[in-house]
Order: sequence, then C-alpha cells, then structure tokens
Amino acid sequence: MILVALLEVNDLSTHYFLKESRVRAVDNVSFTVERGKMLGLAGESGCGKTTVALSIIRMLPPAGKIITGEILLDNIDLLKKSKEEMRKTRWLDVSYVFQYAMNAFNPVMNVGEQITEVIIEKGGIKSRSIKKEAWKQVRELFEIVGLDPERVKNYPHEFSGGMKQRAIIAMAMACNPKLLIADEPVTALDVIVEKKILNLLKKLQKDFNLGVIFITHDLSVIAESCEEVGIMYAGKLVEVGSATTIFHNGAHPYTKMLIKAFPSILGEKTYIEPLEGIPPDLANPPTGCRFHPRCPLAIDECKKKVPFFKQYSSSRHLVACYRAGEKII
Amino acid sequence: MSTKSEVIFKVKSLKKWFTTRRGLFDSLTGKQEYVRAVDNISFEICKHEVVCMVGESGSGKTTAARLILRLEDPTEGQILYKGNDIAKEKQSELRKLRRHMQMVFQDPYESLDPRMTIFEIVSEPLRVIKICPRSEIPIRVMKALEDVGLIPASDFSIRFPHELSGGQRQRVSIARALILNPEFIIADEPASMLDANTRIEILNLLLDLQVRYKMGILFITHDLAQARYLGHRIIILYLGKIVEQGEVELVIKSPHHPYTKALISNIPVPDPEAKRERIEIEGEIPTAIQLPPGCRFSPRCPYAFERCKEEEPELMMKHGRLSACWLD
Repeated sequence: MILVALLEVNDLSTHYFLKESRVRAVDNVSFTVERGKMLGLAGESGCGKTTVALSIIRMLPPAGKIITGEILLDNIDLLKKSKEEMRKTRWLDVSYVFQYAMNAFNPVMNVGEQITEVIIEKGGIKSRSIKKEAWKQVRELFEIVGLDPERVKNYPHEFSGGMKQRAIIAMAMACNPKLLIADEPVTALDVIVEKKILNLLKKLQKDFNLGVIFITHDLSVIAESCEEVGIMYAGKLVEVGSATTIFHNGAHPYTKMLIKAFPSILGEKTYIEPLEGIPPDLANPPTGCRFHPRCPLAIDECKKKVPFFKQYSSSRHLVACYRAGEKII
Repeated sequence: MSTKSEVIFKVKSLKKWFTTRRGLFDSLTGKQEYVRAVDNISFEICKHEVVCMVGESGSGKTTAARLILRLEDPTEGQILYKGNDIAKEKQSELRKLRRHMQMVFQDPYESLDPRMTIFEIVSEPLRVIKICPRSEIPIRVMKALEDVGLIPASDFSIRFPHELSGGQRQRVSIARALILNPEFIIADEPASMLDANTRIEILNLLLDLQVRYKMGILFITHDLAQARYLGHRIIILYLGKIVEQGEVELVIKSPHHPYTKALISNIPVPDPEAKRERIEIEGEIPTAIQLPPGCRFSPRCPYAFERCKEEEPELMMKHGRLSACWLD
C-alpha cells in the first residue's frame, strides 16, 4: 500500500466574483498535510489563508468559486462530493475552529448541550438513550480538553475566554475528525492562556494522530507549535518547508522579511526595518511574481514570468522565487 | 533613561474601584462589592521617556491610562502634572491641561468618526482648543499628516476613514494626537490590531516622533516584545497592582517577580529551536472582585509560601528594580 498524505491540496484556485471585478484570492496553491502533523499557514491579512481553509470545507461565501484544483482527503476529492456528502464530511472528517468562534456560542443554551447537538446530528448514535450517550461523550470531551466535566451545564458567560476556546475545541473534536482546521485560534487570548491552548492543540494532535492546519498571522506562534510551515503572499503560496528550515534557512525574500518583522524578547535589541509598500489589490494582481513590486531583489524576469515551486534545500523545502536564498542588502 | 531627568508625571496611590450592580436584597443590607480595577498604584514618568505598561486583559492597564487623563474619575490618589493634581482639577482646567497630553486608542476602526474627513478629524483638537489662529489650521494639519507619513497630505486630508487601511487609520489617530504638540502621549495598544509589518511601521513612527518632538509616551500593551522594542522602562501590572517595575532590558533579561517570569517564558518567539525555561502557572487571571488575602498572585504562583498568603507585599527594591514579591 502506498502511503498517502492525509490531505493533499493540488493547484487550488479560488476567486471571488464581485460586480465589476474578479478577486484572485487564492491562485494555484498546493500543499499537503500529514497525519499527526501541524501545518502553519502564515501571511498578512488578505493573503488568502482563510480562503484556502474555507475552500477545503467548501463553505465559501456565495461570491467565492473554486476555479481549479483538487482537494484530496484520504485520496478522495472533496470537490467532487455532492452537497449532502460534503455535509457529512464536515465534523466527521474535517472540523473547523473559526476565528472568534468562542464568541459564537449561543448565550441562552448551556455549553454541553451545544456540543451534544453536534454529536447527535453527526455522530449517528443509534441507541435509544441517545441523549444520555451524547452527554456522556461531552463529559469525556471536557476531560480531554482540560475542562472540569462538572461544568458541562454551565452557560457560555460563565466561562472565561480560554475556557470557551477549550469548549470550542471540544466541539471540534466531538466526532473524532482526521483533520482539524484552526483559524487564528489564539489571536484574542493573553499570552499565558495562549500557550495553554497551543499545548492543548499539540496534545490532541499527538494523542489522536490528528492532522492540523493552523492559520495565523503571528509567525512566533507558528514557530512554537507547527512542524510544517507555509508562507502565503497575495493569494500565492511562496514557500513551504519544515518549521526549522523556514525560520533558519528561509529562502524567499518575503519569508525572511516577515520573520524579521517580529520584535523578539530574546537576543540583542535591534532596529527593525519594515517592508516597504502594501500587499497588492488581488482584483488586479501584478504580473509575474506578485511580490516583485515590494521585493528588494526583483529583476526583470520576476516582472514577466510567474515563478513556480522549486525544491530548495531539501525535497520538502519548496520555494517559488527566481532569486531564492540570495542575500537581502 | 536616567532617573535624574525631570519628572513630568507623578502618580501616587491611584485607585479606581468600580461598584458592581447590586440586587434588591444586597442594596437593603448595604452590602457592596467592588471591582478593584486599579488598586493603589504609584509611578513616575520623566520627560522624553517611554514607559510601557504591560499586563493581561483585566489587569487594569487601560483603566490606569484613562485615569491619568481623567477620562475616568479616580476613587483615590493623586496624579501630579506640573504642580496640578489632575485627579482634583475642574473640567475647565482639565481642558487646558489636556492639550499637553493626548491619547491614541487601540482600535483604529472605532476611534475615528466615519462621517468626518481626515482633515476634519485631525483639525478638530485645534478647533476645540484654540492654540492658533484659524488661518493656520490647514498648515498645521498638513504638517501633522506629513509627520505621520501620510504623504501626499493634501490627498489624504480629503479622504474618509473607510478609504484607509488599518495602519493608515492608526497614523491618522497619531496625527490627531500630535497636532496640539503635546508633551506626553498615552498610546493604548496602538499596534495590536495590525499585521506584523504595519505594526513595526507604527512602532517605528512612534519612536521617531518621540525623539523628534521630545515627547513622553506611556505605551500600553499586552505584548512584552513590543514593550521591549519601544520602552525605556516597563511596568508590569497584575490585577490592578504593579508587580514589577524597572529598566526594560533588565526586567526582560532577568525578571524577578514570578508573574513576570511566567509572562516572559510563555511568550512565543519566532524561532522553533529556541530553548527556554518554561514556567507553568495555574488557571487564568481572576476578576478583581474577590481578591485572595496576601499577595494576589499567590494562588497561581509556583513559588508561593506561607507569608505570601498572609501579607501583601509592596514594591521593594530587588536587584536593581522594584518588585512586589517576598522572594529574594
């Protein structure tokens, strides 16, 4: 048997069709997620991270259309599934922790009941004591995510931000998915709570051999938790590789400059030179490499031809740049 | 920055206790609970100094900032500015004083009036506090916009906030704060809602303006890395109290208070190989209503001993900085 990756995204392009324009939010993006590994997708806001994720679960807003590509989950193309089949895939195979999801709990229903809804709807418990069984599972889930099982009947307002985030993760784990997509799961949290939620995600990933796509604009969070990293810029994936490779041997000029833009508490204090300009308008993306107008290394070729992924330092380190690895002066 | 330079702000035993809502029974029995948002804090800010106030949400940092500008009335304490006690001044006097102290708010999407043009927003302080003849207003606005990097200024001045990006809006907020040539600015998480690159641009802008106009800045943030990048001195707050205060490099390189240590060791750093000591602390920051006896951090502190649970430590000089902890 050939080992296939848990998730394989090939040549995915998702565009938004607006009244007068077509926004190329995601263009020819390919990556894989292995079982039991965490892939961090990073980039500035508006670079298409969330659109990639929404394409995977096929929950794009009405204007969004997937133009090309395939999304293979366990070698089955999600894009070929009917709406009804896709509905079953969500939660059971892929679950999604939305940005600010912790604020999406229904305030007049207790937290446990909201999780039983998912279990009953998706889990297909057939026994007569369906509710009892679901509640039992909720208690187990609470235990798994580090919440007191006695508090299943609490209402959302009785939980702190970190606890709500744990409950959301419990809900995402309710049907034992293979893939978890977490969209900025720690962005609104304080550092200490943030670290705890990261530890929890790490633990679930190991214990359940879960594949995780972790979306964030904060590279330092990715450095703490992900094995693989994908850097996106203006709807394109510009570099992928292991976390150590990206942070120590990143080859794309954008990757290098993005990493440098984070002030650190370690090492010497240095002045940080920001990257000039702003990300391009994706209704009218620049020709060639989309990064060329801001790139200090850009040459004529960059303006004319779109760079494709090439292996760089190893077979798992891919970079889309003509001047990969060159020093930025 | 040396401690000998001129002190412009002196905050003494500042307190703000908010009352909680009471039920009928409690109001009859006269029982009242308080949220001790800011509980007896004292610090100084010198001329041309950047002081960073760091804490988790709920630690009282924003309340402290609002008190200093008297956007909120303190329960107790003094805020001395050039011999005036801001805590007791009349509104008419405050108006005059506020031209010297301005604030940049956290959310660039909420803090600008969507129906005003950038020119109107930035010129408003000049129209309220008349420090220059009307004819001079346009010149000053253009200069302020150029100072914050909104160039060409004439182009930006006729736009509305919705036409600008988050970073540009935050620049407008800074221009609005600068237009009165203040001596002192409070910046409440001005860069936290922005992307990494825009965040650095805003931090660099503040640094540049601070040096150019010799302003003092009180920079409020939950991000120690930002505090280190910008600040000379740092104040760490926990549940309305200062737990540690000192030179920024000293505190970050060798923190004394266990809470500061925990904060620093939990900050993610952009390096997957970095080996660091981790301090795990229990639970989350509680609400400031029912405070534990003794040190407020003791229930979560991995080093707590008997004395911590009985007696509340005040700020003491420990290895070159102030720390409110019984440990040596």
